[in-house]
Amino acid sequence: MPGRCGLRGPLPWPDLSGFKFPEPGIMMSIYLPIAEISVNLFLLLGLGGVVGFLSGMFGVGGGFLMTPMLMMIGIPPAVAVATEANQIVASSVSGALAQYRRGNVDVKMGLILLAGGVVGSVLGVQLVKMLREIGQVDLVIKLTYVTMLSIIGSMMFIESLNAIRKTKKAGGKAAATHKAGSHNWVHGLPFRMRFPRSKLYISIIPPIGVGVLVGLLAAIMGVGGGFIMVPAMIYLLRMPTGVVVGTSLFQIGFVTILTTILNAVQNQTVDVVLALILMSSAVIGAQIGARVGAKLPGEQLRVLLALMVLAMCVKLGWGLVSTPEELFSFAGGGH
Amino acid sequence: MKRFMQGMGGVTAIAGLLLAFVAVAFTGLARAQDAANTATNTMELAQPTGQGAGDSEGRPVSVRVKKSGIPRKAQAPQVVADLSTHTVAIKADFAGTRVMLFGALVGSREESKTRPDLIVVVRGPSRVFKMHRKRRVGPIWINSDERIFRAAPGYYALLSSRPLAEIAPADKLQKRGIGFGALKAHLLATGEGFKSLEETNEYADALVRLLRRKGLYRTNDEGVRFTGRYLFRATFDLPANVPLGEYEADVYLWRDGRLLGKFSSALEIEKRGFERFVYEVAHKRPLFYGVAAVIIAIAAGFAAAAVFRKD
Repeated sequence: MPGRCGLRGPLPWPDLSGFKFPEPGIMMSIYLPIAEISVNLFLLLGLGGVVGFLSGMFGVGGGFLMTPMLMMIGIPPAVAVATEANQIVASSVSGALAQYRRGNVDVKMGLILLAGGVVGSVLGVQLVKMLREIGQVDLVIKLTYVTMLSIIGSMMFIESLNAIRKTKKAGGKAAATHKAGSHNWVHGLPFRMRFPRSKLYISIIPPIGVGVLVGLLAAIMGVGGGFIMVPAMIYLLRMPTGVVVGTSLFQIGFVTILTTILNAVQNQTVDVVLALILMSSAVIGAQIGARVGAKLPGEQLRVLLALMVLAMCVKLGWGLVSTPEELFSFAGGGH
Repeated sequence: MKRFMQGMGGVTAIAGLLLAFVAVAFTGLARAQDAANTATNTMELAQPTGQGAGDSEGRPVSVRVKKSGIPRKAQAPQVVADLSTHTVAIKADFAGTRVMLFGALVGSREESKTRPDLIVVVRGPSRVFKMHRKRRVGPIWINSDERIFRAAPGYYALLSSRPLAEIAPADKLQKRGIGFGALKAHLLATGEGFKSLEETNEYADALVRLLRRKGLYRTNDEGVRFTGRYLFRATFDLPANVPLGEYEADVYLWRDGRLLGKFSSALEIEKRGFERFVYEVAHKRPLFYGVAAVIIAIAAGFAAAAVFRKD
């Protein structure tokens, strides 16, 4: 009978507390403290690098690519959105600094856009909080994505096809230079203000409106909103193209700073560890992408990007309309 | 286990391990002393009235252990067990882990009788589960009905030495709170906002199904293995998404469809180190956390701009 053999003193009991059974197939996983899941570190670095590469190549923010991809690898949507906003702070600050040195930022216009952005992001974060409580946040995030990606994707697709056609017709000459200073309905609105850097004298209502929209998108979608703001600045506000990118980066930087802080306070959904991993590889990817992009035919690449955006849109959209295998789900993505 | 043996290195290790098991029997008894009262109470509460409410001599079955150690005239064997670890720390490299429960049958002198059966139930902390069912609205599927289960374990592992149906009839197991039948009965009792029993059933089934898919609810008919006549061990996996908190591992000893004894031990899963620090700051000092996150990002932005400066 065991237990009656009169053992005394310390026993040769193996200490098992530090012993770990290796899990096959999972190498170099990292546990994300806020997302509360374990993800392969190289997958995250690769994702950051690829999205960074694309954003550097095409001069887009990359948030609208990164956030849905994070959702696809299992990060809860609310965490993906808030964390991506944090990451965009880094990329927009570095971009805005570079633009500012070259004098390509219209600070006055940026501040007006920012005023709208502050309102938009405060509203957006509240909205996310409300939607989380009623269990619809995932749906709204995905719906917004499908809508936005389909618009952006098809616009980009058509525009780049047109550009390719034009360059062919013009025999390789650059086409479609934008006529600055021309007027549209925007210029008839009240509260006009002078923007010397952009050589504009327009109402501040449209920039504020654009800012609000971008702020809302930053909070709900976890994107900088450059893909909305840049076309709006060019076609709606008629700003000179030289200052558009710098000014939008200036505004995005501040709006995402605010969104990050608001999300951290209201929803506790910012995962610093995830953001840091993505930042580190995205920065490098963006630099490589910018260099590669300069050597490649831009318009053809733009068609590719447009197709990618549309593919992602179809994937997300299909998830909403196809009959789900599982009708039941837990609320709040595990939070 | 095989790998573990190799790691320990040879015969000495095996000898050490056997001694260790014996040691567990001792240390386990000390624990049993503490647990004796509670164990007896739960046993008596759960004891069905009428026939079968005791052993052959009519005494109530319990895991009460006398001060001298092992009960001398014990007819029925008792069970003692321990876990390979009592705390699981979630650190940056946490990708799930495996915990071993090992133990011994003590006080058994009935070599001729059939070997008893063991069931191990590991329960995670109780949580509120809010659930949705998708409904089609126009072309898209949206989460519509919201239903709540007030208290369901966040983790549930059911291990046994052979299929449960062979150990005891389902109603007896359920009466003791063992198995998914009992779990479902508990779910039905703690549901909120349900309109009919049928609906509650559907949601309860869905909860079990979803958590099984996440690896948080699991069963293993061969999860408890005997090594020799008296020693046994059971391993259960804790996946990376395991909920944090206090866990309880209960070992139930059965023979011929009757519960002979029970032994409980506790396990705690908590975040440690950097992970814990980040989580706590994020939840207790959210403003500070947000500002810090932004400062880190700005610093990274400045660093990138400086490193890759073109002019």
